[in-house]
Formats: sequence, C-alpha cells, structure tokens
Amino acid sequence: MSLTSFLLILFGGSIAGLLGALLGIGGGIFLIPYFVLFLKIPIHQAIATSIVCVIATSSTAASVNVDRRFANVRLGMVLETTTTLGAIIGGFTANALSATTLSRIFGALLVFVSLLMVRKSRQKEASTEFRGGWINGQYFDPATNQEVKYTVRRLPAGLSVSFIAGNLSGLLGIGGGIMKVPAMNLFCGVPMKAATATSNLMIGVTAVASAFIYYAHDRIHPVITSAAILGVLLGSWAGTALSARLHGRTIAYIFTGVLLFLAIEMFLR
Amino acid sequence: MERLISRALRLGVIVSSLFLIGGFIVALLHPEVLSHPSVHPSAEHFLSLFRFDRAFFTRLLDPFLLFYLGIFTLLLTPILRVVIAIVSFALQRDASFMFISIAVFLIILLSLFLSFWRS
Repeated sequence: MSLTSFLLILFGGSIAGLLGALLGIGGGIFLIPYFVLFLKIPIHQAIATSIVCVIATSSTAASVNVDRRFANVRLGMVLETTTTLGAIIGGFTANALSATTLSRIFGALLVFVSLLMVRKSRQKEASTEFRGGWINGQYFDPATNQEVKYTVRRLPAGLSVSFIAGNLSGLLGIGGGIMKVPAMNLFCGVPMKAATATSNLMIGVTAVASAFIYYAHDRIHPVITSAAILGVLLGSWAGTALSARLHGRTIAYIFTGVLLFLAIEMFLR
Repeated sequence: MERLISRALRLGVIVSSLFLIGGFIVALLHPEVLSHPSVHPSAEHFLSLFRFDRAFFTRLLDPFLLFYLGIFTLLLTPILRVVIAIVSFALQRDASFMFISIAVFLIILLSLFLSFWRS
C-alpha cells in the first residue's frame, strides 16, 4: 500500500460520502464499485470496508436525528432484532460466495436502486395517523412548523422487510436504508422524516452485526478502511452543507445514469 | 435517553476520527510504514499490536495501532448505544423495551461468537 493509494481511497470515500449525503443514502452503493472497478480491490474487502464506513455515516446522522426526536428509538430497537439476524446470515453468505457471484448480485442491486431512484422522485408520501398504539412517535417538524404524532402500524410487515434489508446489508455492505425507509413509510405509517431518521439509527447496529464476520475472515484491511472512513466523513459533512442549496429531480436522474453505468461494469467483470 | 444516545454517537465518531487522523499524520511522516510487508489484515497482527509490554507506548505512534483503535471505537459506538438504551429503559421501568434491547445486544454478541468460535 502506497501513500498514493491511501489518498485515492480517501478521495473515493469523500465522493461516496458527498453523493450519499446529497441523496440521503449511505455511500456504500458508490464506494464499493469505485473500489472494485478503479482500485482493483477484491470485492469482499470492498464490502467489508463499506460496512465500517456505513457505521460512521449512520452514527453521524443519527446523533442529530435522535436529539431532534426525528428517529424513533423504540421502533428502531424492535426492528433491529430482525435486521441484525438478517445481517449475520448475509455476512456469512457473502464470505461463502465467490467474487464473481457477489459482483453480479451487486450489479443487480445497482439496477434495482437506480430504478427506485427514478420512482422515488415522483412518489408521494403515505398517510400517517395517530390513534395510540404500542409504539407511537412524536416530533416537531421545523419544515411545516407543526408537531407530528403518529402510531406505528403493521409491525410484522416492518419486521419482515427489516430482516431482508439486514440480509442485503450483511451480504453487500450497504446500509439497507433504501428498503427500510419506504417500508416504514408505506407499511407502518411512519412519516418520511421519521422513517429516514429511524432507518439511519438502525444501520449502525446492523452493520456492526456483520462487521465482526468480515473481520474474522480477515477482510477488514486497517489502512484501506481507515482512509475510507476519513474520506466518507469528510464527504458527508460537505454533502450535508451542500444539500441545503442543491436539489431537484435532475440530481436523481444523473445519479441513475451513474448507477446504471456502474451496474453494467459490475456485470461484465 | 435521546440526549444521551445522541451524545454517545457523536463522541464515538469524534474519538474514532481523532485516532484515524493521528494514524494518517504518522503515516504521512513515515509513508514507508504503509508498505511494510507484514501488513495485511489478520487477527494475529492486530493482537501483537495490543500486547501490553514495555514497547506498548512506542507502538502508540504506530499508524496501524491508531487505525485499529479508530476502527474499533467506531464498531463499539452502536453497541454502546444499545447498552445506553437497556439502562434507560430499565430506569424508566419499561420492561418490554428493556428486554427487546437486551435481545438486540445478545444478537450482536451472537455475531461476535459465531465469527470467532472456530479460530
């Protein structure tokens, strides 16, 4: 490992962190293809690195979201039971699969996510209601200047999706928010803001559950991982500052293009 | 509980990035350390860094020790968050959520156990 590769990893991490923060997702979806395609890092190591980076972005975002009460700590904890179990299974599966198979699965994920991105820009938020149940949530939304109250419904559906999201997270090194957020909103009636915040809170614990497996398989390289974490943190701070100004459907379309390009590259490997 | 969790998460990230920045600075001063042949991710190398012998303090300037410390602080952060939740729910006498949090904690321990039991 030379200083140049260290700096290249740092650079890639910051771009991934920046894009992730702009889109409101973890950077793993950009980080892994960059590592595999441009730096020729083995995909298992790339995934292991990403899983640790995801903890950094999740913790940073969650510390703000929990303090403002956007994240629902109780709902998060309930869903974490299935998501961590899913992550453990995903982690072991990934370490048993060949690099080629894993690349193809990752390529398929990129296609899926890029299609989801286009849809997301047109999607309307699902309705929420407060009727007092086992898990309720309440926060002040500064955007609408209103106190928002909601009751979590259809918890079994949320638990199932969390299991699958955890599985994907452990398998591919992503946060899995891309599945958890829409599920919490559409199935469980959690407002978008709270769903995003709660998903972010959950991602840290999910990633830790599979990080140990990657560590035990000697996939977490100290230098690569450290450079990537620093980069991702830098990028996500910059991205959060930028995202207030940059907005719109155009960004979503450009990223869809980038993701589709990466997907094809991953398939051809 | 929310305030405490929020602070713990922020602290974890800050401490971790301080270790990593420290390691990065040392690596910048001695770039040759990065290409040392013994360096590959292995539990053995990791454990050798943490042997508390006389040379431990000189190793504090080893970028690898700092990198590992940074990574492990980051891994411990979400676990600490679950522990805070367990204690807070216990203090609030909220038994069901206390048990749910304990379950999450046990699943993480299970993952640790499954990862290392063979080695």
